[in-house]
Amino acid sequence: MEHGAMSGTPPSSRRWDAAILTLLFSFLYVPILIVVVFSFNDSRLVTVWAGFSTRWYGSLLSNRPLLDAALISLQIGLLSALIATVLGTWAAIVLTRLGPFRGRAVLGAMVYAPLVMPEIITGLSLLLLFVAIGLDRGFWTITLAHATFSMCFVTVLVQARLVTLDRSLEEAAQDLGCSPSAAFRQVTLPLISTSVAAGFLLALTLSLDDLVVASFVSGPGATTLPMRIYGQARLGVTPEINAICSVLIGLVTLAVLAASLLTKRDFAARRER
Amino acid sequence: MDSERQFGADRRPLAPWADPAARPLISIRNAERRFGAVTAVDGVSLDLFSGEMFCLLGPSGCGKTTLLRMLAGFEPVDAGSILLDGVDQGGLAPHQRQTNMMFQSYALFPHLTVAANIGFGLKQQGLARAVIRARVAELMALVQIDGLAERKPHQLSGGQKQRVALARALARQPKVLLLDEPMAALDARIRAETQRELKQIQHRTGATFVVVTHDQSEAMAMADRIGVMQGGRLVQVGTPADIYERPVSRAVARFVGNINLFEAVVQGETADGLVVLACPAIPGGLSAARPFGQLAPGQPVAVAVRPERMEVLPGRLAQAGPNMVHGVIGAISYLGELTVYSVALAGGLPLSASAVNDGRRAVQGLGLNAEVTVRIDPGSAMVLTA
Repeated sequence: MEHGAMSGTPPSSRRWDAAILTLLFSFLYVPILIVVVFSFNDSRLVTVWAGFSTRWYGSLLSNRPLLDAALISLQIGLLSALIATVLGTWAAIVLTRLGPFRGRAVLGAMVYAPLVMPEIITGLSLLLLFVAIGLDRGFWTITLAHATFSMCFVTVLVQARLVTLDRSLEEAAQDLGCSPSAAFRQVTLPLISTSVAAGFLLALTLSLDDLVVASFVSGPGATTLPMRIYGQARLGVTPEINAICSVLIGLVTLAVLAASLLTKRDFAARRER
Repeated sequence: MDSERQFGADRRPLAPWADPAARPLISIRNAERRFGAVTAVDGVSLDLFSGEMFCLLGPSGCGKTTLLRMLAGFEPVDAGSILLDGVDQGGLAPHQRQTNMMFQSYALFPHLTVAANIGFGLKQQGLARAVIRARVAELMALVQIDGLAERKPHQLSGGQKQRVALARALARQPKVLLLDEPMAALDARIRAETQRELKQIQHRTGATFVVVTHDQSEAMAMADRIGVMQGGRLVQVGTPADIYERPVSRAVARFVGNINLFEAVVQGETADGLVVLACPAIPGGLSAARPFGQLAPGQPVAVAVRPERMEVLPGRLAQAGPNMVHGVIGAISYLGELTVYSVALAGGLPLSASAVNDGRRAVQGLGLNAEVTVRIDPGSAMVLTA
């Protein structure tokens, strides 16, 4: 008994841990794996395996509506991520740097609120807003909506980096002849650049896979890829949908990996210091 | 070091602060800085002269760093003014001032190499790349970090970082260099050597250095003049010897060096310029050097005596007259060059006296619990009215 306590967890408990982990990761990844595997299925029937083929990927290229939707999604994603990155970084700087001002604590907490806000509510409230101000729903409303909810993710990421920055770095730059804006460009921005880039990638993936908010605020002629996929899936899942989903999974995985690599490298470099 | 030979002797004028005709480089006039209800810098007036090494000394929270940041332009002057070369610095942002600052954290730019850090200020001036490169090489030689040009700050030791920070702050040839606790992050081992080097560099650049420190021995070792700050006020300005030998108050006396303080009452004066005092701790009475101000008989004062200005004699001397007091040695600290005796006086008051261990006079009879007589040198006993 004492020996077991010395060496940590007893073996039986370790077996349980392994089982629970296996179960957890199965739940998370087996469905995704099924999509990817069946995207290489030769059969037209989604659930019947008939040998390996990449023909659905080929037929994707001739599926005009799907390609149009993908293009729109990409455009909205890049544009909204850009807006979210600029505004989110700006907000992070104001919140960390401008010292105490009235309502700072409230604002700080309000930045986090959209992170946990149900998407239905975000979508509905934005829809009401766009209707109220008479904005035609379509490409631009989706872009604005995506920029709105992904902005706070950027803010949280950049803020986390900014609070670790020595305030005297910017002061040193000013002391050495930089105007405040030059000090920001030459010192602060390079030092937070990886967090800003990670924020951009995160905003991009959030936009690419959003269905709920986009459905609320889109109009005729602006159908994003998730909307198109959802629409088609309701009529029956085709192998083509599996293929486009696999492409999407690949893209999002790449972006998330890149974002986490960026932040990790940044942390490692800072620890070295 | 051969650098001194190369650059010749001390170029500073001797004691410009004592010359009423000398024009100060910086004039601080009744400067004030308030943070809410707290007055961090409270009516400070001070003249700083070209080429001097001035140390702002005080405990943490006394306002010394705030005053330094006011000189750099990072803190506004709420009342009063700061003039550099006769020009009011009031409306000038940090990047418009002829001062440069070395930060306590060094604040080296982590994304830039050592050379780019040092050349940062020169690049802002729009100098040609070749000019910058030559100047950076010169500065690196000055602070003795040749060969580190391509390193990043995280690859440097603490001492090297400090040198890079110093070189970067000197690059624009500021008239005034502001140094915030420049030694705080260094090993005690290399501190003394770095203090000497900093002083040499100051002589060679001819700039005025204003150093903020809480370490009185550092201030004594480096400064031409020291300004002691307490509670936002500048309580005394003077040479290290002034501050040590003629502190203006009990608080300054306690802060700089070790001191014994006795409460006493003025009785009169002798013909040879000594003050005669009645002192409960010293039954035989005490005479001390006259201070500058007026003293009235019956006035309560404090008498301050440095430990090294007392002599510990073995045994109870029968003729214990004025400036002599009996006691028992309660503790002995052997510090190598010094031995410090803690003596409990008859009234229970503790007193500390030190003797130089010069090897020539090994005194017998100064063991623990030994009865001793302590003699206080009248010329070294200071009368403090504040």
